Amino acid sequence: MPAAFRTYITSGRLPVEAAPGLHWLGGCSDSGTWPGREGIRHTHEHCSSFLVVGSAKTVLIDTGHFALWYAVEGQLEQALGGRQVDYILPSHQEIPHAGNLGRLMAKYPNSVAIGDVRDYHLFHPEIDRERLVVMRDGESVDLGDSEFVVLDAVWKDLTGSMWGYDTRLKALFPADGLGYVHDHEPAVCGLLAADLPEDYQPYEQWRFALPFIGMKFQSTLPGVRRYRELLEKHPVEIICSAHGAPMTTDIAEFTEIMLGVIAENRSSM
Amino acid sequence: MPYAPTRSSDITPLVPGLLYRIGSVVPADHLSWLPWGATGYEPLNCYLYLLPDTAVFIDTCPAISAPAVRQALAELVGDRQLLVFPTRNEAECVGNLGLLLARGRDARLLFGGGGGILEWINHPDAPPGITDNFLGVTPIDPAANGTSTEIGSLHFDWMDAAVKEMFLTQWAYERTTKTLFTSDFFGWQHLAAAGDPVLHTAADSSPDAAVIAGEIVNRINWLPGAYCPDVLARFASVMSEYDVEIIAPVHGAVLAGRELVARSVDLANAALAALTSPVPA
Repeated sequence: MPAAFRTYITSGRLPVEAAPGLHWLGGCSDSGTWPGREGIRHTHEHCSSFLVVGSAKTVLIDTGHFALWYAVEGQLEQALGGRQVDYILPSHQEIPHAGNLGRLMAKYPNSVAIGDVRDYHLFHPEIDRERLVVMRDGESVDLGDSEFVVLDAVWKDLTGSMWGYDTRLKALFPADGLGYVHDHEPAVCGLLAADLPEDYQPYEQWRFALPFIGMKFQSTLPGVRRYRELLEKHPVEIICSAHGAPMTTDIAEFTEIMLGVIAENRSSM
Repeated sequence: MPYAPTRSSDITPLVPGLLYRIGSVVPADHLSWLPWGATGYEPLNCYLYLLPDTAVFIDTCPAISAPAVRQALAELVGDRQLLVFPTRNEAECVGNLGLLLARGRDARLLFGGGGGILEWINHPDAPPGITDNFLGVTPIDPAANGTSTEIGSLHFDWMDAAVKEMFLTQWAYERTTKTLFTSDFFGWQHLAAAGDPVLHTAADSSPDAAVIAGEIVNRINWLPGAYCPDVLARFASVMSEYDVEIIAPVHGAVLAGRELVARSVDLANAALAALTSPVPA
């Protein structure tokens, strides 16, 4: 019988309401259980998704990793509090970000997927094409007390990567980017960045900025400039990375550290 | 309306009796690796080797190609033992992995990528909301980069993809058929009509280097302006080290014949050189 160590685990701390109407869902990948890596030091990597509950509509940013459905389904129900999922923004087509799209659209039959929704008809042919709604940079949906804006990603993983921004929360959802404590110890799973122990030293702490293939071959300064332009148009007070704990405090300080790391570009892949 | 491919089930012999392209053909619009507004049609591919007692799938196609994979199982694989090697943990490549592993008889995974892959897929008959994965069920045989695996008369070399967008993408080379499996690279020949052949052999069928460069950046988005002489050198090295007669990508036409392969490699080298920078930024 092959070994059966679950890689995708979740903390009992989730879901966490990181700000009013902003819920952190998901779990972690335990890289010490990957096939071929058995026995290495276990570190966790966040696989996060986020629910924004507006006064009229809700939007789920990333679907949760396919392997975390057993946890995400219940977390989502709890966070919804009886509401329905109205919009789903899969930030890009990778399975950790979009793998539960078919399950979600089956469970919430009035939901629609928004953003760069190319390819999903190949992965989920059972979904009506009318429920896959292309949205371009700057277009938005009305959540009632806020607008949820779809943004072209400054730093992309796949070509179709898109970010999101909520105008009420001033929350940025930067997909794979800006994932503070991307790698972490199991003891801090589910803790907001602000709640981490003061002496906590995350592994590869600068990896949060640049988890993208090929960035080491590029000047990162144009991206830094684009990010600053984005901040002028969309002031950010909360950062919710798919591979990080939500950052809800000290955003200005964090942003300058992060942009400095990116500009130096010494730790990227 | 649920979506169906234009050609839902294609089986194309590449080396008759030994190697087959399995897949479907879909309209080229709404595909992330092609420009917005693309016209024509796109083959979606996986590949199947048949030995007397063993069948080896290289990739599994996205879910929309399930009818083709089911047809191949029924008509070609029979009761052979099944081995499956995915080049990437993306839905283009593992969309029917659950379908294959669920088939039973001694199904094994050849794997050199990352992630807990057996949790990324479900049994094909499981209801959408039910987790019924293959953790603890399917054995995994290592297929790490830089290693080789003998399967009957076949010899596979596993390698890190020479050019890639996704972390941990692998390529594979099979010696007896001189076939290089290139995942999401070399997929730049498409079909003008849905019924056109998915196997291209004419050397003059290739687009020019500028068109290929435009195709590459739709998938490998970090390349424009990058200073990466090591990447270019390794690509050239891989393509010269292996004696390739068939290039087998997961989407786009299959490229076969020494003349077309050589021209495709030359054009790819030119396209990569044109996209990248000869000096650091």
